[in-house]
Amino acid sequence: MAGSIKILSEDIANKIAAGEVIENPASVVKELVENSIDAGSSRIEVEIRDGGKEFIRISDNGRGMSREDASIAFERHATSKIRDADDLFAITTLGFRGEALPSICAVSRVELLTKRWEDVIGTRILTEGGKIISIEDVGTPAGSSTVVRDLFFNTPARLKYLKGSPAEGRNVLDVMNQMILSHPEVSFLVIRDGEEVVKSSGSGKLLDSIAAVYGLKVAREMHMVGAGLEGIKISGYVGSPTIARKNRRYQQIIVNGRPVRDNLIRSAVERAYDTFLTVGTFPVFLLVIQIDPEEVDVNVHPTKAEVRFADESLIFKGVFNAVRQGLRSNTLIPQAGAVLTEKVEEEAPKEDSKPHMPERIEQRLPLFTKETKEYKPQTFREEAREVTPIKEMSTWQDSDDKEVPIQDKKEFGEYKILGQLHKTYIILETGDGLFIVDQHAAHERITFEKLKERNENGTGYEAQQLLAPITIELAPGEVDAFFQVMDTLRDIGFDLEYFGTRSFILRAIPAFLRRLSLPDGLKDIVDELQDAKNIRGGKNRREDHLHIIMACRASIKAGNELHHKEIEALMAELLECKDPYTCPHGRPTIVSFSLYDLEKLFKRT
Amino acid sequence: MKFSSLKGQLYTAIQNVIRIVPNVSTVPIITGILFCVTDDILTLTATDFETSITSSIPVMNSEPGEVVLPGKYIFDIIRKLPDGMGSFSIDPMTWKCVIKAENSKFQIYGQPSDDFPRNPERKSEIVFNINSQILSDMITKTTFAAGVQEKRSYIAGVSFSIQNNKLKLAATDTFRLALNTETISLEPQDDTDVKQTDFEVIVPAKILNDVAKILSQINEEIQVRVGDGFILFRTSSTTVTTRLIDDKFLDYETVLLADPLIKVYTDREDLVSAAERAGIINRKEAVTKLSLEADKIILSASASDIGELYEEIEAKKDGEDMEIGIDINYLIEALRYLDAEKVVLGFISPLRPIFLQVPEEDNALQVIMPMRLG
Repeated sequence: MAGSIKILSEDIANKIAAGEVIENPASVVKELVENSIDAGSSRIEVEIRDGGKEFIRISDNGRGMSREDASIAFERHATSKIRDADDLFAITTLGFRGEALPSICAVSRVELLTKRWEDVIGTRILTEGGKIISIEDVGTPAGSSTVVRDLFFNTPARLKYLKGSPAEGRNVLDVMNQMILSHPEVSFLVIRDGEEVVKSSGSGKLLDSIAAVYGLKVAREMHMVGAGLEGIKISGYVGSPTIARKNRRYQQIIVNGRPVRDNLIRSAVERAYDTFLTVGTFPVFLLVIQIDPEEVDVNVHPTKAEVRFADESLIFKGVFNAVRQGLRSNTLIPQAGAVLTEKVEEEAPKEDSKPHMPERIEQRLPLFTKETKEYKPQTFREEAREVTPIKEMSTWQDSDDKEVPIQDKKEFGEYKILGQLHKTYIILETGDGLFIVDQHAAHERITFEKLKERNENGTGYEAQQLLAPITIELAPGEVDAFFQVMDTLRDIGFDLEYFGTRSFILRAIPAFLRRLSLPDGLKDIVDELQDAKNIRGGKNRREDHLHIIMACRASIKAGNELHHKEIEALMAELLECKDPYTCPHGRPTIVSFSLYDLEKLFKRT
Repeated sequence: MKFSSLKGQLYTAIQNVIRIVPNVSTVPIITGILFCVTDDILTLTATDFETSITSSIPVMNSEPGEVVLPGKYIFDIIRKLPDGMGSFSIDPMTWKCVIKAENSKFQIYGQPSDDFPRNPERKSEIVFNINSQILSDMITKTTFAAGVQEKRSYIAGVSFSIQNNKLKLAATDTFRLALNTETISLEPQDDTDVKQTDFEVIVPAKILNDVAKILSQINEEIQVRVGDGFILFRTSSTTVTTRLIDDKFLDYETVLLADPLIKVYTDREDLVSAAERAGIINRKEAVTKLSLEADKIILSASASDIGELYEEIEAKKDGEDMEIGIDINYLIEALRYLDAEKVVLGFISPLRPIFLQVPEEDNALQVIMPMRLG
């Protein structure tokens, strides 16, 4: 079998190496934009067609290259950013391995136009499959413009693994969003199939970048954080708990100008939000970390998407403290003793149309939600609200069987509704003690089983028409998400139609989702459906998940006041359920206290 | 500070203001009621920062002064006072309030009034008068259609507008609309701030229910004033001022442009009763089918776990036959607030709005949106 091991030809070796760096149009865009940024550009234009599979153009106003440099740039490991191995440990530029351009060239047709400021004539280089076809003089503005056509035309196996144009285009957009967020000083323009999709001002203000990517509404709810310690500078913005999302798509970490994924920092932030957020919601944040290049290894991942810190616990603590502090000082700490009267007697506030309400009170309002209880001094008495009395009491028949085991619903027995606690729990007196029912969890279970049954019976979902159509305006990043789940939404009764640029028109919603607050509730559903795409385990599992999402949205929430009749109906329906004791997420719907438990608590035994 | 007053008068006044006094508040002083005496007039004031209500009554043997008394206690005390004259005296050093009536004597502690939030007099841009019973009735027939969620959105409010001397009240939860109209005239005023232009503002529905209750107890011309961010309702003794909702109301006029092609005339009571029976079968989310035929409406409903209903109501129809799905509760509510013997229902197509009116009358209109049959 001699001769079965062969040295690969240079051509094949290059193609394989290219594959490590260039996976899809998004990675082409990422590499080229990083080059542009490293070249000191203040304006970068990115244009793609057909998801970037057919055409990608990156134009900048950066330093440009001389003819000589330009022709070397197509050779593997040609870089102007590192000269020797020592430099590797103090990397400040985004690109450094000299792999990007040659890798891209190896698998596509590239046209490079470049001119330095000081030169009169620019250079045009055409390559195909890694081979330079022509180098010629050309008139062109200062800077570089790279056009990449027919990506993977010579590697059919890779081409086959590319996703559809919308999906690839979305990846490109994700990359560009990261770029915009990590480089507020650069003005970006992204054009997809001839349509401007995102545009940032390059004002150098992080908040402007946030507004460009996530929309103004989110930007308004962001709070600045900042801390510096032992060679690390942490800055950025964290979102109010009110704009928390159902997934982590609105989180961005930038380390030394490079967007990265980092579980350490992410968990530090989420820990800092602990108790401010409900389960299953994630904070919106953008953190910029500047750290001595020697303290961080950026060369651990082929696409540089991950980093490793020398001192992990220092980073964790630093981020945690910075975020906590930012949250507290910005939104959550009650200013004890802040008195409302000072401003009240002065003239009425003009624009806000809240005559009696001095601004400070408004700012304090978010404090009084449950999540922030922990940070509320001296409020125990206010919290201890009474059980809402219920006017008509249902008749209480004395039950003979004193045993009321909660496991067997047949013996659930008689109960008397005592009332609603904190507009969140229903209190029932049972023969043996006390039940506390979580009204949301209970209703969620009921709705879930109804939806499931409908699905199994093949009964459709009724759609309630809206009096007037609602236009839903989306942030640039949200449009594709809507398209992805549009069919699912239509199936369950949303009458939704694309209305150009970033808006959709909504004409009807599923009747069971009448409580949905629009448009925010719909956006949350879209977020959740997106996440659900990754759920494994076949059609049933995915359908169940869809029903869980819908049930949650359609159900009464903590904080909804219920009348006696409603509680009665809710309990009756809960007991008809197949699994009345847990909500579809697996949390309990009912907690029971026996008289014996109570006696123990009061030391009566 | 002191005053004497008849229990009945005092009780009416405190009943008007107690509606908005919160049980607990992070700003404890607003759980109290401000008592203010000047020139033999006692003025009670309560506020929850969104709304403030003042109510005045004449008193006797008075000495001027101010005190804040704990809301719920003073309300209960006044309610339980024996009929007849009661006297109040407050010691401005200790804020101890002594209340005497017949043989009983209460002592409760108040607070100085310095911290009580005041409602400064503000410029009104629109001023008009309307009979209290008429406005109360309009409010009742409109507010029910508002939604409950999202406190600061137009859904939780009622649109008050004046256009061409027509006062319109409208409310919607985005699935149905209630609209009530009354002719009103905007008289020129001496006050130069008053512009008397056409306008539209959104008033929180919740407080309007209180306003309707206060107005229903009297029968007099009341004054309504609208200014930057607020609306104010003033009767001879009571003033309610509330913050407006800063939002844009649904452009309902475009909905009303559609001309019904099919009109069905029927007896309101008959239709309500049938609808209520259908409501038993159809719980919240299910559809009830309305079939419009030559001389009848057929209501049919079914629910797999409960049963079925089929009902025919006599009716006179102009236009074609049609089948349309609706949420029966919307129909019941809309009919309930159309105060007449006969109603006319207007239809366009199975996915377009349904208009409900009293024949030959266009002051009151209810619109409900149909459901697509599943």
